Amino acid sequence: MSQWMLLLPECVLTIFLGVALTADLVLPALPRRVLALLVLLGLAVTAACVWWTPAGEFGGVFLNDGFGRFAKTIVLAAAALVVLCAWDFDLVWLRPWNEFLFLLLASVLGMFFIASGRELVLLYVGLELATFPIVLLTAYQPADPKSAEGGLKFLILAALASAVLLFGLSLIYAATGTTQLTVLSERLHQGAASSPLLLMGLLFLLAGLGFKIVLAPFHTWAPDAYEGAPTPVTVFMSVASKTAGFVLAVRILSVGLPAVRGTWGAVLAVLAAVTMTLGNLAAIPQQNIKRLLAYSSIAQAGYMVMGLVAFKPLGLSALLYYLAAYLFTNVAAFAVVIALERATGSVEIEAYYGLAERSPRLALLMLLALLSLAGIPPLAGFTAKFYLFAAVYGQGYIWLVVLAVLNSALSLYYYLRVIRAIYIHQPEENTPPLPSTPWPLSLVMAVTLLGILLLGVYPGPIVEAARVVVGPLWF
Amino acid sequence: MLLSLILATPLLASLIIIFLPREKTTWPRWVGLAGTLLALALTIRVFWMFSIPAAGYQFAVEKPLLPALGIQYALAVDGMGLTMVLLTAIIIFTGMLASWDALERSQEFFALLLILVTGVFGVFMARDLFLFFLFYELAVLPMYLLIGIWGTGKKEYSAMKLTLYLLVGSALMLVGILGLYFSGQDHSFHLDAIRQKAYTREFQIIFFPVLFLGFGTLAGFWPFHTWSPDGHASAPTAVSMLHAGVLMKLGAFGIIRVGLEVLPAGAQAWAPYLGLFTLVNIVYGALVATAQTDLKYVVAYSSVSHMGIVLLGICMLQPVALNGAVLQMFSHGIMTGLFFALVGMVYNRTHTRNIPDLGGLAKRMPYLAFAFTVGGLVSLGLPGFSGFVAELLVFIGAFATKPVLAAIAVTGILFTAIYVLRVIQKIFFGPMHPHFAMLTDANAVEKVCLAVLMLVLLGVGVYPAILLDVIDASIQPLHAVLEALP
Repeated sequence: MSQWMLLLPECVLTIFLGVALTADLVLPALPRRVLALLVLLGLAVTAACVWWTPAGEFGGVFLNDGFGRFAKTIVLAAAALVVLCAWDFDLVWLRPWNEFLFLLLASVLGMFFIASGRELVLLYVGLELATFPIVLLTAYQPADPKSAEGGLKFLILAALASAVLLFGLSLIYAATGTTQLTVLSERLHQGAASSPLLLMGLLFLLAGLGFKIVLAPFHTWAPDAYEGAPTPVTVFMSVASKTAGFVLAVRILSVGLPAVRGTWGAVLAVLAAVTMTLGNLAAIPQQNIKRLLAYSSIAQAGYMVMGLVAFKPLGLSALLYYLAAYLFTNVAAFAVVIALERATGSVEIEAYYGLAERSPRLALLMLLALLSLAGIPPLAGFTAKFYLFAAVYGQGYIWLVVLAVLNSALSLYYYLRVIRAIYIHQPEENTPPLPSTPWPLSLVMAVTLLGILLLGVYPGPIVEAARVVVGPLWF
Repeated sequence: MLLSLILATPLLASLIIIFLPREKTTWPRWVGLAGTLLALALTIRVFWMFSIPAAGYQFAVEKPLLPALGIQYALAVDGMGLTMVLLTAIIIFTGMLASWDALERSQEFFALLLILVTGVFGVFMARDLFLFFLFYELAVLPMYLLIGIWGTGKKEYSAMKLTLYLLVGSALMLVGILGLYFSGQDHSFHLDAIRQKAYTREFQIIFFPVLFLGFGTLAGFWPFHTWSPDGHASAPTAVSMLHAGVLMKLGAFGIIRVGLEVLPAGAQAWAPYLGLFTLVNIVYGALVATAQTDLKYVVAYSSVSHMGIVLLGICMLQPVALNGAVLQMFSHGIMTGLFFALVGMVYNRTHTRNIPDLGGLAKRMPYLAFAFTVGGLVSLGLPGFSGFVAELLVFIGAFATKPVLAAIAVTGILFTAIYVLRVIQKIFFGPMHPHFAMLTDANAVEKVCLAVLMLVLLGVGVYPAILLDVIDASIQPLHAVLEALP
């Protein structure tokens, strides 16, 4: 009985998911605000359950540990911020609000199983549950051809990636005869590591993971999906999906396959180098802020993979810290995008001309968010990058660190382009004044601003938490 | 505690400025002035309390920041750091006065300026390399907006160039710093802990040039100096003052603090070759300055030349030259601050910086002409001013170790005299253009600003021991380290 208690957060989440779906049927006149508040309450209760539920494992399949809790907290925070971002945004949508919330929570549920999975099939099922609601959400504006295009591209490539990943997992199963990560790890240590089947499986697995965490050369779907999706969905994709993808990679690679670390470490190091360079170069000519941020987030994924390369425990705790910093930073940037999109209907960089005079607060937040993405002190992104690069350097990948710091300097070029539009360009003639930001969005901005500053200047507690939770990953 | 206060004062002033009402365009300058005056007063107090016989690092503050990684909030100053803090406090105070009439988007301007100064103070005080790097980047980044928004000419190009150059430099620095951190067993970013590590000679030879180039980019080391003339020329007055006056010193300071003190064997191996490049700085910088027609470019290239003297002094690895180099950092900082303030004041009146268009201004603005002449005399090393003492020490040290290098470097002084005298003669004397007849001389605020800078130059020139004793207190331990090398 007590083992079932471990599933409490997932159960609570499922209940609220049902509530979100059916509330309209029971109470057709329920105001959208009430539903949103209900979902936020659900996320809060789930968060409480995540931390209240005792640690433990369940049938060798499901594991409740500190690492999972950390990841779940990031996902929950991202979901809550996305709900707040979407609060007023969906007035322009044709779709009902409860569907949006339902799909969002379904995806969160899938990410929960990724965070707690200790077995390949459960991880795979969690991944599917996490991905496909987002595909639907990407195509959520059927009137907008870009949304449909992005959704379709995402759907086809996500399905393809799933197939590749599943094929890789099945080969790994064939080579070792188990799907449980701990058993897998032991069998590999006993000598199955050199089997060619396993190597094939590993390569397919890496390709599949590459799609999920958006690594070059498997990244081509991302800019279209990011641009086409309604902006709050883009936020969720860029923050929560990325977190889930990295958690999946940590579980499978670092916990399940440390015996063949030499192979996947080398592959990932090369992929990291290619991804960050390609992402940063491709971001330079972009005129659309969503595409620019999409390429920037590809580059960021390149940095984060370095955390996997650096392995335990410093590298993984740096990765977790980076994910937390990235959550606040990226959501802050997108919150400004959403505010401007609401006001002007445009996501082109030209819409940002003279923003510093039209709305000093939005301008300042965007400035801080972009500088944090570029890794400038004293902001969250700086501390995260410093920690991450130090961890990678400590593992001897000096060439990778050199490349990464040069990439950071390069990335500043296009971040500065946006900053130039905001601060240096004059606003165009007859630009109408910006309407005031609605309170849910203001709340998002306040929270993320606080996060960016706090994680930048007072990193101690989160770094400590990240170090504590990655310790027991290898039992 | 005092150091934390000096650091907090501009930051606090900047935060206050952000929250001022937007329509009050004159309030930010008052807050800024109060903040910088307080910082200057605190700095003078620290200077007063600094004990020369005790030498070493004083006024230390230490608090763990990220113990897991060996990062702490650690501040302290030695003689060299203190001299630089004093320079910064003087330059930002006079910079505030020089930009007294900069009321366009004044809130953002003064807030960014003060954040930049916080970073500069931080670098000169930091005893922890993480903190050092953090403050360094904090000092570099606001420059982009300060030049991009309030600059003149091809400001966006200059701002981007400057930022990218300096960030590539800081990327090298970061690699070097991580190398220092991970070498050996105990991992700490504290400079005391790092200095205790005995790095092998091979390690030092690999990492010294990495750090030197990283810092050298900011110090205007040839051939990585090209960001600096463009940046200085495009920047608004106060920013040029800070930039040429203080920011370039961060680079030279870093070379001594991290390069020489931590990696002396690496410095010993590389200094003779790097010294050759500094000759190019000195002579080429001065030659290019003679060819400029834009007044600001003349001053900017003269900075490249004068920073060459600083770097030459460092590369001699010899106590007299090192003392001279640090004093030159201070002297050049004040002098170039004076120059850029003057260029800004002249430009505000005549709306041109093109030297052929100017002439005879001394008739209308005798005070500015006087101040410019003083700056020029310091620049060409006239005895009685601080520049003379500093350059003399560098050249004495250089002749003792590398007489040929020193002989070539001295020719730079000759070219300096040519362009300085030519510029003064051209813009202040000779026939005056009739459309300048309505111009006015310096107002009260400008007079105070210039007078402070001139008095410092004269004071240090007449009684250099006031700074040299302090500087020497930190050069002697370094000298001992260098002497101990095989």
